[in-house]
Amino acid sequence: MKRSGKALWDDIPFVLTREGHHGEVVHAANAPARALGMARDARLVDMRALCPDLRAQPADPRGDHEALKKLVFWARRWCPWSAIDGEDGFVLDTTGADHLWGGEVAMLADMEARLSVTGLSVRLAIAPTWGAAWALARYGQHDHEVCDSDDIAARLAPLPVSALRLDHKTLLLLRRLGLKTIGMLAGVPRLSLARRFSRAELQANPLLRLDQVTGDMAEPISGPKEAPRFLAVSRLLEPIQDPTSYLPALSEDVCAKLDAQGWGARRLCLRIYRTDGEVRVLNTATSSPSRDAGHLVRLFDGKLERLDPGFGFDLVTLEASVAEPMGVAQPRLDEPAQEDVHLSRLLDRLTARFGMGAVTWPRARESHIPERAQGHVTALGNNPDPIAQAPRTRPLRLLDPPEPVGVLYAVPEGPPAQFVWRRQVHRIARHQGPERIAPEWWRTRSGTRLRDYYCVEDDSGRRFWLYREGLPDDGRGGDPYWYLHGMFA
Amino acid sequence: MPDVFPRYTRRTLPEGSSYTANARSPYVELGLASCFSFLRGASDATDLVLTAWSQGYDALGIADLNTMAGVVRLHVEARKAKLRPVIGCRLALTDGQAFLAYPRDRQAYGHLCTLLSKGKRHDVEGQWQAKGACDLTLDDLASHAEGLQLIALPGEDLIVFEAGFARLARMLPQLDYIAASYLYRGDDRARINRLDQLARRHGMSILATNDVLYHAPERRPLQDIMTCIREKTTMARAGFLLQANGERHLKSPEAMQQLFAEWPHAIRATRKVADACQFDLEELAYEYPDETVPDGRNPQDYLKELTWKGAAGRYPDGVPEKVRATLNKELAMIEKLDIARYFLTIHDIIVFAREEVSPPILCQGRGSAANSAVCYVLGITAVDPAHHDLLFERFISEKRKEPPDIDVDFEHERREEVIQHIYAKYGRDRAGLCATVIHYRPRSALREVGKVMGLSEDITTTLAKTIWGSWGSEVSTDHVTEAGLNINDPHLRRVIYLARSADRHAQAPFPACRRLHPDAEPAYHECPHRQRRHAGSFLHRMGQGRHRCPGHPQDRCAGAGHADLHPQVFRPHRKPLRRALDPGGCARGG
Repeated sequence: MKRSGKALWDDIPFVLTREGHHGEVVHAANAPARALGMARDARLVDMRALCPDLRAQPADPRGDHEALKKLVFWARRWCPWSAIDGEDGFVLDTTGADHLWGGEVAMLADMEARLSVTGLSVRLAIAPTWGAAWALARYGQHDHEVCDSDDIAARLAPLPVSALRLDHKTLLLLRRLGLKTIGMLAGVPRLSLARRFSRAELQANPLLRLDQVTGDMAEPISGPKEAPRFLAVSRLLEPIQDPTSYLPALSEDVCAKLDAQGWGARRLCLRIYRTDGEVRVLNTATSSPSRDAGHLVRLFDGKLERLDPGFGFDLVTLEASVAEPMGVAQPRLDEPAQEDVHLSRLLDRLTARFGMGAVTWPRARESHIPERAQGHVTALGNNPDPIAQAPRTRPLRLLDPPEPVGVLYAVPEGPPAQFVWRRQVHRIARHQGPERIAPEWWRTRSGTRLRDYYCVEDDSGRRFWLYREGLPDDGRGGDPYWYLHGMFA
Repeated sequence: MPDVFPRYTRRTLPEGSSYTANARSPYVELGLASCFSFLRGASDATDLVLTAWSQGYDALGIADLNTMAGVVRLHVEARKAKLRPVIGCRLALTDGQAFLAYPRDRQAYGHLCTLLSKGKRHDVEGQWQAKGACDLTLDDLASHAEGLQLIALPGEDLIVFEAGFARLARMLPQLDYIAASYLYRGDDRARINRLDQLARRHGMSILATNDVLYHAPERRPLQDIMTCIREKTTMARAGFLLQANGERHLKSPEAMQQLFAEWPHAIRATRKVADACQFDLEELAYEYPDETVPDGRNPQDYLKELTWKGAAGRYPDGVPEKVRATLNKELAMIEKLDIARYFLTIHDIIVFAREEVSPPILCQGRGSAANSAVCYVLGITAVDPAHHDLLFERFISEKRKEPPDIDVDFEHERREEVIQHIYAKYGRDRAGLCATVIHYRPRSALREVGKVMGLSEDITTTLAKTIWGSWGSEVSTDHVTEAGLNINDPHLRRVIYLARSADRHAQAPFPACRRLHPDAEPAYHECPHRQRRHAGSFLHRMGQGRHRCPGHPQDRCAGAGHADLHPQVFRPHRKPLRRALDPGGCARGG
């Protein structure tokens, strides 16, 4: 696993913050900050008062969670079962796997070495039960703790009760009752604890937690299942220069695997492994999950020339690097199931040929200025907007930029009587307006003038959208100019 | 540190200004919202009145949203500029319909206030109403609409309005007009024609209004910011919540006549409505509660009796001649101004606090009331006229023709008992507490404006810190540069400019929200008159000298018609009083 993210400061006090009730609170602090007294959940302003040149950045809990999930899957190199444990740790069930690494201590050393390569500092503990391992990892004295089944009680006795994964209220209660360590808690007669906490849930029940720690209550680890991989490999007897002929077979293979699982591919990755040891990669994407072999092959049209085969390659793989569950739809009774909509296929092919940024959907934006009322988003990742009702009448076509026209009108604010556009004179028979649109003052320069829009119909029936920019006496320029902004039909 | 702590001064037209009355204008603006429509209107009364006067209006209406909070201020300022204020209110019902309501006379005004009080006291189901909310239904309006002139406001969707209009016309016989405004929407002519036809079908007429939110087009940015603050969004994301143009400013009668050139009857209708409104805020007068005087007794006589009894108690060795003369003089003045019941009311509360409750609540009068010998012998204050020279004219002056200010301090912990006694004695319907209105001060204005304009919290905090004190003067550019911000950034400059205009409203306080305090920091808040509970339990504040709202027709405005008003203000003690055997002696020393 490669090191991801940049290193953050280690020598100056630095905290991560999140939103609290009355402002930002500290989410986590590095070692120098902790030495200065920064505590979790303290208000940032208070901490800044303690240390004026504290650096703070917002925390990213979601990003942390995603990274932890990836870490959990990666940790399956040591054992088959791993799961996320809380928000900053994970648990592995290494029963029967430690002998591969030469014993538990060696395995822990290997884990720490590999995790520190990725930039994480970690505290590890091995114990016969999950509860005991949790407690020892967070509250034990050393960074590596190894605990056997016969000395669980002795090792855990001096640890505080917060090592039992209890919630805040229960911990407060236990503190008030004077039970500060696990040993003290274990010394209380079981019957008394049962009387007090019989109905509490797991996080509030010290008795159940004690049982989990000693192993009297089972706590199996169930880790998340990995997403299935869809990979087709084709080994060639002799090095070749052109992968085109092998693509259909590979594609069918991948689609068969996708079909078996009921998934569809969103991103495809074609890799060719050259004889000189280099790898060349080609990526393509679809707008909706697909397992149509022919369609997937066509996505690579025109891109295969960009691959540089060198002296030839002898291994080519096609993988669906991102796949999504995809159901089977059957819109008609007498036909086999249609799996692809034509539009999404078209989108895929256009995007593959012209690039992601070239194919866009329009999306409505809330703005009174007509040319800003629409934005564009890339077609591949997003859905089009449902057709929304514009608040006012808007022309079908907007000219960009608006074209200047010469207009005959009654100063200062009269409607247009006649205008000249592209060297043609249009006499105006009817008009509607004016619709006054003032500039968006927070975005534009202060000298921007307002616009008075008129829908006009000339005597041959054509309708145009004209505007006059400014008023004669608004002090932002001389006489106002007229522009044609759009046409109706 | 500055030498003088910055003080809050209210913005107002200068006293004795020489404004000549304007000629009768053909049009009166009736759809005006001042800054007391919280976070909707963006101009205060001073600006509105000045603009109206310079544009040639002779009368100006006011219609704040579901409140009468702004009428007093407008009344005061309009009187200074010799404009006639036409008092009204904009009623927004729970089902989305809106009306302008203009009372014709004092009775109708009382009905309107009752309606608003009902809306603010109880919600639709009759439960205790949330703070700041006002729920009015069409039935409420129909039952309180006698004497009101109602003008229906159409809203954006005319189809819905037309469909429901027949029912409205049936339920509200006082509805005579439909408001029409020319706001440069693009389809204005068609829309106004449609409204005109609808009105004619029902035998009514359209009425021209510009639905004013601010006094000049330059205020549009501030109004946009207020909208964003109200909707809790930023400018970049506000979208269609903001107005498309800046046409909702106060326009001159000539401009309105030009816009409504095809509908002159709409202009005439405004004049008709304004002329039919004969109600003047000065008609509100105090009626003192009768419970303070025993049956059948004349208040002045009873006061005299209590005075001499109290004097005998204060001077067991005989009342000194000087004091006797002072007392006679004061009693004569009280009789002349007919404010005996006022003293009796306060005396009653003092008696409750000292004698009817055990242990007695410490209380003491302060301020200019200390200049009165009558107050001393009644036990209200503790400054002995025999030992000190009292300046009675500071307390009551014949010129003012209104009851003086008497501030009484009660023990902080137990003032609730006093409040409850008043409620119990006079009824919740006839007693009320002062409401204060929170305003934007320089710092809060900067923070809010900065947040809306998308500045991060760090920057707005840095900017706000450059202002010293709560009422510090404006942001100065060198301080900003010292704080490390680039003053040449146009966005930053815009923010500072806007914060300044929001803050300038704070000086003639720009209300941000309503909060009910029995009192608040006295120097810095304004107390408009507004209904809180019932018509009449207008709150007003008998503040001290410089904190009093000058020119506020205090008692009269705040007085009640039907229900009697009980003007009092209670102020929490800042520090605990030391217990002494003689509370009066302690007070004298402290």
